Amino acid sequence: MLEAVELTKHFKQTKAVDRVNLYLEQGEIVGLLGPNGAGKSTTISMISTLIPPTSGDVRFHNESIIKEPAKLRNVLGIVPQEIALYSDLSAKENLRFFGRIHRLSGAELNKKVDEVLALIGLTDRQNDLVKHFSGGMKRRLNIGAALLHEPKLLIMDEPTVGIDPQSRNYILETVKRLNQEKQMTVLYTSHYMEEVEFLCDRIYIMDKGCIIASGTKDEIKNILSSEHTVEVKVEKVSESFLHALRSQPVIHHITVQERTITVLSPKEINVFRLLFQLAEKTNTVFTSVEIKTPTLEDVFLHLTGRALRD
Amino acid sequence: MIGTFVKKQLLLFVRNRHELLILLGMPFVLITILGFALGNIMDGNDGQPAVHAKIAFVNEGDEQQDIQKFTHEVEAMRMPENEKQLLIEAARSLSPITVLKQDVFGAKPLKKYIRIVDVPPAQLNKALQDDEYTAIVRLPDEFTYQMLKHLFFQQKQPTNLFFYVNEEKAWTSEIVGQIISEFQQHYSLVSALGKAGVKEFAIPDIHVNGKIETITKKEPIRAVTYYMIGMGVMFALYVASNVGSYAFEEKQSHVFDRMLLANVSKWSYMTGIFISAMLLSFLQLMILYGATSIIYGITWPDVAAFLLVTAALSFAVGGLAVLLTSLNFRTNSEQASRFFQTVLVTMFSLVGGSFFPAGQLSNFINTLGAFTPNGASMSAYLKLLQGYHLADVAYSIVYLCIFSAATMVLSVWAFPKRGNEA
Repeated sequence: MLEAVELTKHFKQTKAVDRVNLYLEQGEIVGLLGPNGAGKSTTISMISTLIPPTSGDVRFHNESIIKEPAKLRNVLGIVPQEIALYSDLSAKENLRFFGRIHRLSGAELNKKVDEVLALIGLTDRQNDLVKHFSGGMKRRLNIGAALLHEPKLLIMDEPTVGIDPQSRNYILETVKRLNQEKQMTVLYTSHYMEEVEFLCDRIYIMDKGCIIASGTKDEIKNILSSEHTVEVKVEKVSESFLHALRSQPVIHHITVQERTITVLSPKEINVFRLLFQLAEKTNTVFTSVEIKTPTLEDVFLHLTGRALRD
Repeated sequence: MIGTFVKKQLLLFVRNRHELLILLGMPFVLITILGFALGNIMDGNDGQPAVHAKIAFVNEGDEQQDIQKFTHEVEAMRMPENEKQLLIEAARSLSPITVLKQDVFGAKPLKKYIRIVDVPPAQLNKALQDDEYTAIVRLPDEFTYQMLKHLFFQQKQPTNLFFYVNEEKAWTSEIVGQIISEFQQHYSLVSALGKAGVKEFAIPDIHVNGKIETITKKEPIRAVTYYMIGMGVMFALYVASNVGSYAFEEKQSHVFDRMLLANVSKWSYMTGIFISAMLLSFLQLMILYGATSIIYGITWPDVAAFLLVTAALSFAVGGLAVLLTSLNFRTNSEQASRFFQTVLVTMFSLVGGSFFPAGQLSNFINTLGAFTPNGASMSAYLKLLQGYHLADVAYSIVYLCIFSAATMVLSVWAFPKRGNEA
């Protein structure tokens, strides 16, 4: 359905996106996972025809849309990371405005507005000004504004940033429902790996402007098939213990979060024995040690040496 | 589509109390404060405002030749030689034109405030069109000769001098008018012949006649009226910067991206901006002028012309709003709107005369002010209030339309192409 070929974008001296290749098939949800500044937003801005690429191409049904963006735009809905709404207008007035710019009018416009309000759960608050909404409600309306013209392809740029877990779940369920009930194709960018894991059939992992891994969830996690992810909880994190860990060549990656230390090491190594030896040497007390099933976060850590939310 | 943009903009404007306060409340307060605070000075009731008048003298004849002609006629008359000499001396001393120029306007106390410019008769019409002059004194051919003949021999009708007043310079023209009136009233043969040393001559009781013609024959502008116009045209400019800022917010919040993805053309968007700003400005001026006119009892003699000038100013404001939007988009910042709001509006208002009749300070400022949209419209409004007709302000209306078209052309040029923003 949609394909990005060697997509590259330079901003003066900075290479924001470097030869990105990705594709979307009809009816699937594809995740674009990466930390802040990875180039996800620039990539989707190019895919959605908002900015032209420095080089490369975007093809929609095998036709380039760089010079003829209208064909894609007609079937595209975009949910920007920012709240792209008028805060001094009510939810209904916003939806009516965005419906009208999509050439909806009369009874059709009224019907679509009512449907979308019901879908995003804002029917009761339709006449309230957006500036009085909670963050979650604004996010839901932000999505609703992209759905009025029933797009075939929905591009969502971090649609759950800064909201409560309840609203987040509501949004994720809504996206899933749109995909299942209306066969809407979704490109979903996030730096929350659990969202991408929950929603997406296929995933692209991006860092520093490049795609560093892609495939289904299982394919990506298999990258770590040769490694253990061990999570150690300690009474107190000591510099001597961390130093001892870092000096071991078989310990590939170390992350520290409060009193939890996560390490990656090859499966053939008896990492437990090594950890306990180092703890004894540095007088470190463990409160628990656990081998974890690898997550996308672990894959990202493995590939980049950094956590997704660093 | 454009109607959707306009409706949205009106809703946003109406719901923003801060904007309403600035664009409607503030000018009303300023009109009241400035109108009353400066009313005494501007209305000429009190105070000593600085006067700088430039008076054109258009002498269609020649005073010396007139005196010569009169002298020759006296010499040819049958009368005693000593009487002839007295008459000739009196005539030479009388020289009304020289006295008016040198002894009245050229007198020491007035000299630093009044500048006399001799204008050839062929350039009278040009001088009448020139707002630089506070007043024009026209002396017809054989003015001195006819006056002498009338004074001494009652042979001619009393001659007229013509005095044209520029009521746009209400303070100074009024003062100059008073001086001329004083001159008429006091420049009698008594003082003239007294000055000439003629005591025993039979003195006819005749004054120099003067005919004062004002260009409009209307009352001068009151301070509160002046500031109603001044503040109205100034705050209309703020509509342009506000609409430009709103547009930039649309870009910042990615609402504009939604429009692009809905295949809204930049022409539709810019037309929406233009019409919104034009409509907002028109409504603002109507509300402001309407309320002020009711409260302070100001009436517009030609309502149709007033509406046309208001529409032309709103047209210019629409053009400015589109230009500021383009510049904001191009620089990817709100700087253009902010610079316009904080620096340019103040400068435009200063040279355009919103705070005081700055055009009287110098010709340069006067010309500069006429090129600002607020200055051009202010001049048109003041003329209408003085009783001018639509034809007299047509130049301003055309200029405002050209200004608007020019800003629109510039904004099309400045609007960034896709992906070329700063």
